[in-house]
Amino acid sequence: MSIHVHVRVGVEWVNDFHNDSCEQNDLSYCDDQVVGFYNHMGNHGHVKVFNWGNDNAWETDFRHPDFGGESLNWSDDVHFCMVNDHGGNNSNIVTFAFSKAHTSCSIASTKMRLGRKNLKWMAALGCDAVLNTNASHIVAVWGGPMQGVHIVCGYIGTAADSWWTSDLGEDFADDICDGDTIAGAWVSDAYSFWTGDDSIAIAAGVTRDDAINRRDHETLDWRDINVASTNWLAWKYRT
Amino acid sequence: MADIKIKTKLTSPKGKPAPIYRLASPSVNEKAIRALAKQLGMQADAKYGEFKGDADKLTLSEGHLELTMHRASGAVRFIDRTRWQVDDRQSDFKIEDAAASRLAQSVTRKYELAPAAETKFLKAARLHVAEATSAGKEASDRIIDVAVALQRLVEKIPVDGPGGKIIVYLNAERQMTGFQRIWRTLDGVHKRGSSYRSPESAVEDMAAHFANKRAMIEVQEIRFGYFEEGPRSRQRYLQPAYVIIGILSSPDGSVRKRTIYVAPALTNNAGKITPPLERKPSQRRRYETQTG
Repeated sequence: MSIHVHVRVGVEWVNDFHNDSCEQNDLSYCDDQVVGFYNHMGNHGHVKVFNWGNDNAWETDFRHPDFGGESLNWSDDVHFCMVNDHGGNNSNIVTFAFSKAHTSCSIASTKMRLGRKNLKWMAALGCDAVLNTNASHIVAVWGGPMQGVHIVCGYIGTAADSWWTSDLGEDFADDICDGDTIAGAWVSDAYSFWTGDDSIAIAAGVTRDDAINRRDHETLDWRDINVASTNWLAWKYRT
Repeated sequence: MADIKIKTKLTSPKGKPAPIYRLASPSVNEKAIRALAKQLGMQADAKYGEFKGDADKLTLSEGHLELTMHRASGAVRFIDRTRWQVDDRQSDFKIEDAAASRLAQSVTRKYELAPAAETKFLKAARLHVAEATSAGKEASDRIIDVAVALQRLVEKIPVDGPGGKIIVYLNAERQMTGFQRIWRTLDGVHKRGSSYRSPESAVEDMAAHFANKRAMIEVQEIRFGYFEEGPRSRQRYLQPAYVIIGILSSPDGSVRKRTIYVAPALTNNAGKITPPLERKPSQRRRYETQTG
């Protein structure tokens, strides 16, 4: 099955941190995964809009203007955004860490309004998109930030920074561009028996059936079938 | 420079050192796919099915059945699109690991995917579907499939890594919905193992690998086994290895990521397994005025 629409793609990643207030452990392969995704989406005819790495990746690209950010010009000005760096999750709030304070060293999910403009799909490849699979936790983490975005992909608990999973972005891009469902391809490609990565994809919907339909059937061709309000979440995960 | 702390017991492998095997170059072409398709009960004659290929893989589609081979490794993925991850919105597939393993083994036998004596149960991973309102009400959670990983054994030593596995996907009707096989063909002994390196020396390799990285790595586990790579890699030798699993945590533990390093286990090994970190070109500095 082929895809009939073009989607705009943006990626951000951080491997190298500094000995300053934003200090974290350095990573090595975040770029491989997301730039692989970016390039393979481009190879399939989709539009490569931005690829910001290390100090060029900014938290303001994810922070909604209601909180002084620029998300509507960046993460929410593309259809598919993928981000890979250190992640954390405390008190049902996800954070992505950045190497440069622009203007903060991290962005919390409470300051995200994903999908207010153009964003349809988000893949957060850092750790701890969710900490567990309790419905109360998943809904508490993502129910607020998902405001028009169709599907969020991530990991349950920690993820591996590994040469051996550096092909993930390429595989995922190839699968969804071949017409595989977004949630199904993510859960299948990102799960790893070897590294212990547990994958999850969370779909939003106006109704229960809408959320389930998106989880089970949504492909890139659903780009313009908007989620008018996030009343339900439906997710799939392998563990 | 990475600071490495070892949080696990280091144990050297016992017994006579295992040999290094040569791996055969995979034969990935229409004839090979049709032969496997026949083995799986698909219509394998030339008049059936449609081939689609790119630089990485070749796929035969026949109706709802899809058989893909990776050019670099010969790895195979088979999917029945009418069953793969399909939810009937009722089933809740509760099955013990042992029973799931037996089903997977029977699939492996039926389609001659691997000799039974060369596999062992590794893990069963369940695919859940769940829903709730955005207020967390009316929550439900069901299992719709179980993926069973059977690990390859060579010289009775487990094969570790992204390869060296058959993964069988089963639905609630206990039928196979697909499988993946990453199982390179052995092409004889390349050389006998002379002796094993210590796991401590493998950790030293890891420290050297990350010498230019600023990180605190806690080593949580070191496994020993043959190491087989994933579907997209060309691999010439199958050699014994240490797989080192570490975790990178911020001082307060609020952000974390796992890291993996694989080192050869023999003193007369076939070379490094984890490729050296590449020095990558820096991006040009981003300015405030740039727009997407």
